[in-house]
Amino acid sequence: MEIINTSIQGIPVLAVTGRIDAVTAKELDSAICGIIKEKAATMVLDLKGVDYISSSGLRVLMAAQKSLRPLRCEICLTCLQPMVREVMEATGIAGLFTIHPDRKEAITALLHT
Amino acid sequence: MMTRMARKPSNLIYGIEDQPSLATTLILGLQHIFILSIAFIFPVVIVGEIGGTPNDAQNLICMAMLATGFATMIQSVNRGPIGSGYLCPLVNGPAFVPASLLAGKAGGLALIFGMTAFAGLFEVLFSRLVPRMRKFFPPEVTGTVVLMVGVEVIPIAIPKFFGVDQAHPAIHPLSLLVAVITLMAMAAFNVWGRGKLRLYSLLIGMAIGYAVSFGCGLLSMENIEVITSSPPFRVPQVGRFGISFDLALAMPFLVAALSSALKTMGDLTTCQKINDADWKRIDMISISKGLLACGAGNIASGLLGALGQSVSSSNIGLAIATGATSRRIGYAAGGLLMLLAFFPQLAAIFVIMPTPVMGASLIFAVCFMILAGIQIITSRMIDARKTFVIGFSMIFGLSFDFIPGLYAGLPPTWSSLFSSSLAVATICAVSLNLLFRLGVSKRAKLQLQPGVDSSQAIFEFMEKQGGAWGARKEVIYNAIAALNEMLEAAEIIGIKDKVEVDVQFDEFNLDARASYRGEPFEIPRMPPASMAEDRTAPLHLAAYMIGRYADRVAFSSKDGMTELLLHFDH
Repeated sequence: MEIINTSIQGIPVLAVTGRIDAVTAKELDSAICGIIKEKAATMVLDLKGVDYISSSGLRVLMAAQKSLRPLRCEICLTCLQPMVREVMEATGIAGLFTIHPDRKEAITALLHT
Repeated sequence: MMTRMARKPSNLIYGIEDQPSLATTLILGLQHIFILSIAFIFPVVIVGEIGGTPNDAQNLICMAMLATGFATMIQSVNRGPIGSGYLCPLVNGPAFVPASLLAGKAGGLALIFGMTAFAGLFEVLFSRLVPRMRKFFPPEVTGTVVLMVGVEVIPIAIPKFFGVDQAHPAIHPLSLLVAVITLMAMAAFNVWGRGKLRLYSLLIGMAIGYAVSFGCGLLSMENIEVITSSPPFRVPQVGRFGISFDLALAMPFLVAALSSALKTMGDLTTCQKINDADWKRIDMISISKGLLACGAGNIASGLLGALGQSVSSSNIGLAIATGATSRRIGYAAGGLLMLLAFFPQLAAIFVIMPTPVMGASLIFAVCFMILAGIQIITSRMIDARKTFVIGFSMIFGLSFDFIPGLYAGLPPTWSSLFSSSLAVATICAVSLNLLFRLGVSKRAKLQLQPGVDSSQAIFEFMEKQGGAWGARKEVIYNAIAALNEMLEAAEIIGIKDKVEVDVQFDEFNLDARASYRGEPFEIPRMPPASMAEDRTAPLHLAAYMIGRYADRVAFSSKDGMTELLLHFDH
């Protein structure tokens, strides 16, 4: 798995490529926590390159979202592959996130809130 | 076994079970006859080669209409022991031409008819064996055959499209103009036409082709006279030439029947696929009943006095193109064809079809067949073995057309076997499939260490096995995901030892058995309501996902060992 950390108009964007399983979920957790520690802010998680996410990966996303909520921030998801979207919907986890079809739309929406 | 109702694909206007109005059914049936009539050229060629008269040729066409009309109707029947139940018209196509020429030269038309009936009997016998032959025809083999069925028509269609033949090797500009206008009209009505315009796109294109041909002189008054000089009504002369047999010709006719049967299997596979949005594999019973109908059709051909017939791939292409596969259209096409045998004047309209219109119609229909073949091939995972089955078969099949005469120097028995690009590709695909099956075990084992191994080990193992087995991608993905959740659950419940995974595959089932030292856990029906406060939530989530990915989950325990069975329907 590869994680690229960038910032677009001040909004942190994490672009993930590969599979998120029990092993790689820890790396994702570290990357998200790193951003939260630096500056608690709403961030965009671009999952365009993710074709598989296991329950460990889903737990990392939920835990991060939970830690951001009291700070009035959140993780916005974008570019979900069909398999990933399906599993998030089946487990009810999709309802915890704002999901945008692409990165540009996610950034635009965040800039206008 | 329960029979599953096929789900109509969204691109079909009239699916197999639909009942278009009578008028629509008749017009669509007529459209199929226009494509079938292109093959009327073969009786003319054979009669010419064996020194018969034009009257003999006309009689042969008449009998072809009766015999193929009958076979097209019984092929559409979906009840009882005969008929695949699909719109799958039959035609006096090229499969029997080489054998018929040999018989015609040795013993005239009577011998052709006798040996055609003999070939029909062989097809009837072959149809009884087919249900037990599934392993010979996995998707990479049937897909290659379907693709080559389309490719085989190219050498027939292209010369007609460009207006070239042996006597006139240079492109005929006027013919090409008519062909381009006809093909563009067909494609335009098919792509941008809605409802009836798409349904009748071939018929409209052909009508435009006839009109342009008449306008530019390709269709002359002499051609029109062929229509006006034909009698309006005439009872066909059944069995006029008699019937005879010669065992010496059995081999070429058996080869023709086998090649025709394999092509039929490819065509019927396409019919199954285009009529079922959830198609997964060949239904061998329907193939067997379809082959029986073909055998009966060839026996009828022999007895009536017509050439050997096989399924018309171009008509299946037409059915896909127009989105109309209702079996009612099969009944209409067959019935109309039989009626036309009594009305030579009407039949003459098809006989005078301009060559470039034929070429355009064949190209229009065939491109859908080629794509259907590609879709069947790519419906399964492909490894190196399957790559060679597909690649070698296509390369050697195409070599027949790329290098004319390449197989002509083989001994007579072999050269009659390698009689077309389709025959070469089919023989290669079936043989190579059997060869490359050697060493492929239907069972494979994997060891996983909870907390150490990642999903990578499972992905690598299952993708390799999925390719070797030719499994469906989505089933393999579900198995990977379920096994990975099992591995994560094992870590959560504290399994320290290795988990042994034993995976077994057949065409209908994929079973993964994971054995570990420890206790079973619950597979919940619902996901955890809240992840935050519940310490059991991680196991709950992993176990829930196992249940979602697998079609059936069962635990069994003995002496401290637990076996988790994950079953996936394939």
